Parts: sequence; C-alpha cells; structure tokens
Amino acid sequence: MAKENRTALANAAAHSIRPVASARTQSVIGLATAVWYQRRVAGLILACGIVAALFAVLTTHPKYTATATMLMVAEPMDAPNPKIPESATKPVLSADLPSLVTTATVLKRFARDLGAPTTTLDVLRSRVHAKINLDSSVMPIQYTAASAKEAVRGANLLSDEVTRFYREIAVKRFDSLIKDLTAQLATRRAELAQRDGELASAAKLYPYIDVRNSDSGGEIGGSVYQRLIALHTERDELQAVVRADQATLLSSSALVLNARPLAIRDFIQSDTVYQHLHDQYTQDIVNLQHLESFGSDQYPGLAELRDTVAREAKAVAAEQRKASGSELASNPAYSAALDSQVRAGAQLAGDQAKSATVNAELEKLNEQIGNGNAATNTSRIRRDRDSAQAAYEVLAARLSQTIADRAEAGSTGSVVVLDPAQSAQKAPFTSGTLLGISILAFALWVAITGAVVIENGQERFRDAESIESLYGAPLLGALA
Amino acid sequence: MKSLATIWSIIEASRSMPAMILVTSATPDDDAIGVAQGLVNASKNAGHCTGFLALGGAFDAHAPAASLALPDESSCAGFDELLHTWRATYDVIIVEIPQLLTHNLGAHVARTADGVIVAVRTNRSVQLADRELSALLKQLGAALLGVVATPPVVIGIVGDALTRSLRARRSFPVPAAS
Repeated sequence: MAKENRTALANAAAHSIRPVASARTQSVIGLATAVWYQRRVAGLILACGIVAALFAVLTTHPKYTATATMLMVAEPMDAPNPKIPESATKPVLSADLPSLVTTATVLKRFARDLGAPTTTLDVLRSRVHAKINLDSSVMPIQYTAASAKEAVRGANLLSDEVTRFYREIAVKRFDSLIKDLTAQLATRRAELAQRDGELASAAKLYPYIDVRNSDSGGEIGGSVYQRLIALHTERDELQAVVRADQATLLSSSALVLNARPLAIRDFIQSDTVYQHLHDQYTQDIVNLQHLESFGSDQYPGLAELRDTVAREAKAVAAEQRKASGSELASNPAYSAALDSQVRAGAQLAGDQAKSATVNAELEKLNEQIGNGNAATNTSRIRRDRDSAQAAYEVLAARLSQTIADRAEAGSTGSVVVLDPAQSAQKAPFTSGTLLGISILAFALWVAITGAVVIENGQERFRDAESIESLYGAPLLGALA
Repeated sequence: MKSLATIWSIIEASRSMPAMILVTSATPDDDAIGVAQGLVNASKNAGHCTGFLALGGAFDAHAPAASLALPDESSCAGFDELLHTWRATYDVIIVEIPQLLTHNLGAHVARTADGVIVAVRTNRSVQLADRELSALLKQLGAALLGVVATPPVVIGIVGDALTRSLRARRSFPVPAAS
C-alpha cells in the first residue's frame, strides 16, 4: 500500500510539475503560490513600500502645468500638394516641431530668459512637453513648474523662444547664401577694378587705342591705322604749309633787301645834318684834291685840310651808319617790309614745329604698330572686363533676390503663438507621485522576489517520502 | 492520481472501519474541506449513512444534507454531546478542521476521532505548522490514517481562502441534538 501511495504521490507531483496550460502559465502559478504561502512576508514588505510611497507623495510639493498653443502658419509641405509650388519650402516640418522645442539651443535660451541659466537641460526637458498631431498645425507646449505663476511664465517664454528660433532657422539658410554671394561680388568687384586699372594703363600706354569702345569694324587695331593715316595727311599738309612759309619768308627778305637802300636814301635826303656834312666834306675833299694836284705840298694849310677831310669823312660815315641803323625803322616802307619778314619767319617756325610734332607722333605710332600685341591685349582686357561686369550683374541680381527671399521667409511661413498661457493647472502626476509609484512598484517587486526566494529556500513536499517522513503515516493518495 | 472514492475504499479496507474521521491540515490552504466533502460523498456513495461536521466555519451549501458547521467557540462538552447524538444516527461521521493547531477543539477532536486524515498541498514548502501538527498528533496518540495530497492550484488556494473568509463571517448557532 505504501508503494502504491508513493506511486500515486509521484504521479501527483508529476502532475503538479507538468505544464497544464503552458510554461508561462505554470511559472505564473508557481509565482503566485510562493507569494501566497509567504504572504505575510510579502505583505510586510508591501506595507512598508506603501508607507514609503505615501510619505513620498505627501511630502512632495505639487506641480503646476501651463499650456501655450502654437500655430504653424503656411503649412504647405507636409503632404504633397500640386497646388503648392516647389519653391514654397519650410525650414522645419510640423512633425519636427516638438523636437525643435526641446533642442539644446532653445532650452539654453529659455533658461536664460527664465533667469536660471544654470539649470541643466535635462531638468528643463523634464518640465517641457510638446506634441503635435500630424493632421494639425496646432501644437500645445506644456511647461511644469512649482508654482502656477512660474508655469505660465515659462510656457509663454518657451513659446516665444520657439517662435524666435524658428525664424532664425528660416532666415539662416539665406544668410549663408547672402554671405557667399557678397563674397563673390567682392571678388568680382576686385576683378573689375583690376581690369579697369589694366585698361587705364593701356590707355596711357597706347593713347591711340580706344579703350572704351569696341574696335571699328571688329578689326583689331583699326583705330591705330586710322590715326596713322590722319597723321600722315596732317604731316603732308604741314610740309606744304612750311614750304609756303619758306617762300613767303624769302620774298619778305628780298623785299627788305630792296627797301633798305631806298630807305637809307630817303633818310639821307631828309637829313639836313647829313646833307651839310656831306656838302662840306665834298667841298673840302675837292679843295684837297685841287691842292694836291697842283703839287703845292708846301702849302701850310694842307695838313690841316687833310685832318679836316678825315674828320668830315668820319662824321659822314657816322651819319650813314646812323641812317642805316635804327633810324631806318622810322621809314614806313622799310618797317612794313621788315615786319612782313618777321611774321613770315614766325609762321615758318610755328609750322616747322607742328611738322616736327607730327613727325614725332608718326614715329611713335609706327613704333607701337610694330608691337602688334598692343591692340590685342587691350581687346582681351576689355572682353574680360565686359565678362566680369556681366557676372557681377548676375550676382547682384541674385543677391537682391536672396535678400528679398530672406525677408519673406522671416515674415511668412513662421510659427506664431496662437494662444499664450493664461493659467496653470495642478499636475496630476507630480514627481512625488511618480516617486511613490516607483517605490510601490519596487516594494511589490521586492515582496514577490522575497516571497519566492524564501519559499524556494525551504524544504518542500515534492514526493511521497518527504510527506511520509514528516507525518509518519502513509500517503493515501494524491488528488488531481 | 486517485479519486477520493478510491481513497475511501482504501480506508474501508483497513482492519477496522473508523466511525469518526477527522480531516484536518497544518495550514488552512491545504484544502482539508475539499478532502472532507469528497470523503463524505464517497462514503454516501458507498452506502454509508454519513454525517459531516465542519468545525472550521467553512460550510459548503452543496455539501450533503446531514452537514453542520460549528463555530470555533463551541465547547468540548457541546461537541461531545453532538457527537454522541450523531454516532447514534450515522454510520460514519466526518469532522473537518481546516487548521488543527489553531482550533479550540482541535486537540479534543483529534483525540476522540477514530481516524485522522491530513491534507497537504503538493509541492508547497514544509512549514513549522507541519512539524507541530505531526508532533501534536503523535503526542495525542491520534490514529493517523494517512495523508492526502491535494493539487497545488493557486487559484484553488485563493478561492478556498476567500470562501473560508466569507463563511467565517457567518454565525451558526450551536446545533442542538437532532
């Protein structure tokens, strides 16, 4: 009978071990069994946990939550819409707006606005809650604080900061482009200045090349040859003029030569002093020749007469020199001839100087024409300058458009505060509540674990021998 | 596994058929009430006139008609008087005490009973109450017939506990001799 009972108990034990429903169900049943047998221990632990949880809940200050509502204006790009142009892009999608709220940048600025810059970002993130529905453009932002006033202020400051940051993001894309375009424009300006300097140098170096306009007829150096032809023509004309001036000067000189004796004669005839001296001299010299012809060397007044004739000869000569000198200017005919000669000389000298200048220019131009790169270089510089000017104008137009787009992005398509926080509600789950729940959960876990550990650590009725040895009686049977 | 009918047959096959059997356990979770009621049914099915006396306050309304529950405050004299009356009436009297160690009449009933059956949950830990119950039965010189292992169904444990708790709140008058 004992053997039968042992078999029966073994079957019962096997039945108890064999999974009835599933392994998980069996383990749950075993767990509950252990907790039930050790319910006093588990209950004690759980009671301690409840007390601790209540203490945590009651000693924690309440929290207040305020909500500010934000609206994402101009929501075109969340879903493809053929009516919306592709250029109408948004810097941030609606689904990403809650993430924007909890970014480090926004939270740092928010902490600064709150006047608590030392508050850690994790603490701020735990106080902020933002969630948006994909079908909606409205996003509530909740901020939890120790007082209702602080919660309202925090919610409004945070919503303002999000609005500000969103606009920064919207215009920041254009800022980079504007910066790049400005740098390119500066480069183009420098290039234009360089080209202008090169053209100015070319204008000084090649003055006969038009550095502003294109070459006539598209022929390189065409204006140079035109200038050369003009100079040749001018030189020929000047040479003719010089020759005419030379002829005029010759005739004027001949006129002066012809007018001079006549002028002297007129002067002598009109000069009474000269006439008197000349008559006296003529008479004295006749007398002297007469005396000398008669051989009257022994005449006592002969020597004196000779001296007189010599003095008179000198005086007549002096008067003649006087008449042929400055006194001739007073003669109108001679003066006119002389003036004509002087003007002809001056005209000749001026025309010869012009001719020399033209000849010098011709030589210089011929030398420059000999250097064939002059016009080519100038043309190349001009083309580069025109190209740089065109590129500069394109960049300037693009910069203007970008600045306009930036202003548009900063004003439209932004996030606005739809409804600022007015009041705060007491938060249902404060940190104390959560701490209490955590303590309770921990106590429950400790209670279950402790019950299982204690239960498993004890001797168990696993087989017939363990029962029969304890009670000293046979096992009658095991019930199913 | 055996049914309680088989176990009853084993008991009947013993040398002397006990007229009063105490079904008890060390802890209230070992389902002594279930074993007792099963034995009552098996006895009745075997043709015995069986009376069922529940001393733990746990009383199943679906138990056999000749059943009575006595509150814990019952005195030994009252029990003896009732037992005397029932012995004249029934062939077999099955008394159920869910936790012998804590019941006022536990030791008296164990000493008086012709046989004692202990119910034990399979696979549960051996507790101090088990050792004390074993020692008490030996000390009293009780006629321990054997042990019945009950299945380790936790739902059954909880259900039984709740049922007992509800029944304990009921008050039953001390039965008069019928």
